[in-house]
Amino acid sequence: MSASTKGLSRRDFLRSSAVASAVPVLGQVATTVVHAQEPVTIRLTAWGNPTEYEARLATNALFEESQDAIKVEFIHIPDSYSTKLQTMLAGGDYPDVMYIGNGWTVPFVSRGQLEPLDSYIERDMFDTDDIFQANLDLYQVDGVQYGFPLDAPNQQIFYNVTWFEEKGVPRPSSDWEDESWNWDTFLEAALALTDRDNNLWGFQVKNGFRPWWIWVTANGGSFYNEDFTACVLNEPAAVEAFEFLASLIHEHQVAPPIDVASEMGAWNIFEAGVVAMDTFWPAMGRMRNNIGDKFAWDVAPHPAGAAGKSTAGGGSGQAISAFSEQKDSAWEFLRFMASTAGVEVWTDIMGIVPPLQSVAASDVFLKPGEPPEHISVFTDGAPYLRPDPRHATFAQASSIAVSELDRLWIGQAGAQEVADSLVAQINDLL
Amino acid sequence: MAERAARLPAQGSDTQWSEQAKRLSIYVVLLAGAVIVFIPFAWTLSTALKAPDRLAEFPPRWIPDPIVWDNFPEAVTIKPFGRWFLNTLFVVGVATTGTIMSASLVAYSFARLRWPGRNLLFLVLLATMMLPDQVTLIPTFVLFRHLGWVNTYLPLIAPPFFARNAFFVFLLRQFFMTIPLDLDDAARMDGASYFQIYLRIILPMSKPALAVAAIMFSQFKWKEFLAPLIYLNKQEMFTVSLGLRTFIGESWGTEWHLMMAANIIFMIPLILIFFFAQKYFIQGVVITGVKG
Repeated sequence: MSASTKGLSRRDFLRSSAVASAVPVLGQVATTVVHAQEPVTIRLTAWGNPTEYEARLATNALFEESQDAIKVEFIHIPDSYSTKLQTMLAGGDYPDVMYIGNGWTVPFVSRGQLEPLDSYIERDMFDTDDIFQANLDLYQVDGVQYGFPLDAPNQQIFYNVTWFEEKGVPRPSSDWEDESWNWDTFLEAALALTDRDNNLWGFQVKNGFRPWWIWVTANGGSFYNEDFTACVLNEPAAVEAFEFLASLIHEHQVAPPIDVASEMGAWNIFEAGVVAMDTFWPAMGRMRNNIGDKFAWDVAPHPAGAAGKSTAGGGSGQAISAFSEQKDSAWEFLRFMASTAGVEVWTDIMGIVPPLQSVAASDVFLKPGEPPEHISVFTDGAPYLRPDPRHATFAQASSIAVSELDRLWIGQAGAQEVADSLVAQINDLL
Repeated sequence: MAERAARLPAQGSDTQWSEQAKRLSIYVVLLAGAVIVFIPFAWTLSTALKAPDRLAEFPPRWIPDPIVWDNFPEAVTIKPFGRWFLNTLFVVGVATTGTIMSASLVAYSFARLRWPGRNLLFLVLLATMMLPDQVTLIPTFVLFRHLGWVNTYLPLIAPPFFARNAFFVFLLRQFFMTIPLDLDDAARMDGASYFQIYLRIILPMSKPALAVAAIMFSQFKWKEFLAPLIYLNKQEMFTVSLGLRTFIGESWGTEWHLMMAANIIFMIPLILIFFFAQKYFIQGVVITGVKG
């Protein structure tokens, strides 16, 4: 309770200071939009868990406070976002601004659903230099910018420092260039940390795409070949990564069987102190709230494989609908959310990695004195980001791969067999 | 003779014993089935009473320690649950009334009146039951958008007034066909119109079937997710089935304890309907299963 009160007051402070800093930026806005007497209302579609919903309300209010010309109608879609958004788009009920996953950029652009932003950026001389280049690129197709990132998350290993210290295991290096933290030392640590009799596990193998994609890319593997004519997940680099992960469950037994982990709530067992290391995206706000002072925790990159270190992720962003009738107003909202004012409030509430380098270097993100100690792992890891493969078939292909790999995780089939089978199915799509 | 007499009671108790054993084995099977069916509900209840940091305990503890009753008031107060609940009651009440009125009228026509193309149209009507909602989603959305109905309750409550659910037309038609035609003839002799026959003869005689249709439809409508998702934009207009999803955080961590507490409260009206209308409910199974 006291923590949340404290958070609110800080947030209020940020909000008011953000309004103050936003005023000059929005002075320019007014010149382009004040033709209308009545304020214009733009429609924004976004998904949103409880925290994200709060962040939306705060940033929308901040935007409305900072100017008079534009109001935001927030269409909150709590579940099945894609179903509703695609129905709206196909049915001609176009939102002005859409919250999109970075992986949706290519399919949306190929359907002509996103407005190119280059002419707006040029017209208003909007400076994109502060945005992490790797994340900005995720919303580009053929050199044309279609959206701005709202966050810049990548997945790292969250680890229980207290547990490492109790077992006398050296903590993983947070230095991206230190390759003494590799698959061998990782396995040694996991073995030393595991205590199966007490349901305590060194690591957790998650069956989602990104958690295993990190290991595949760290070993030099790819999803598609260079010209996207075939899936190559059955080549040795990828298969070795799958074998290694499966061995953590079956051979070394340092990770709980996947059904047991799911039973315990795979997304919650790190906080519950059941696993010592877990692949997680930077949900720092959530971790700080849920772990509290139960144990000390920190973050480190995943261990280096044959091809070095790697991370996955990319996050979400915002784009303007190509069919919006209020593109100028939508643009003002988009650039506000990509400005320091918007990003600071969003970052403070969400506790995530901001898309702006300046905010990532500020206390709003670093929160001195609060865990994790090596929070810079997230920003230092930007060059190591291996984004989701960018191809129109990827959504379907990754879902085939994830469901086929379940046979490996539950011990029904070997890595090569599963990889051959999923490659055959994915190649049929290409 | 004496020997036979002595044997008879023994035979009787044998039969009785085997009868009892048979019954016992049926009870054992039924009980096992009931326990299996009850497990998800028990899990829901147990989770609804857990503290947030006890959700991931393994092996799971069925009786939470501590028992957190506060999850219930918290679940209904951190979200506009009261509002969602009233919205749902409104949608279910109006839509159910519409379905009963329109489905019974259409069913009456199919069951009792003779007109050209009746059987063909009935087949067409039945065919609409084979179409999943997802297939008609976009054309229906376009239609409602042109009518200006998006972000209103009309897409949820207006179609039921036009016999939108073919299943209930089918159900009621089958029931109406079992009512002797002599009653219609007698009424017609007394000067009743077709509509009067429907209103004065058919409807009063079909109360059990109408009750079954009302219960089944309201249950379906209570849980409906896709249409509220597509047509309702404002959070204050959500129905409970949509509102419950706002607890879901996926990788952010779902507030399972609150979601389950809200689920249980959401279930209560359905459980009450089942208790009060159990007789009709079972009858419904019979009507749909046998009398067709």
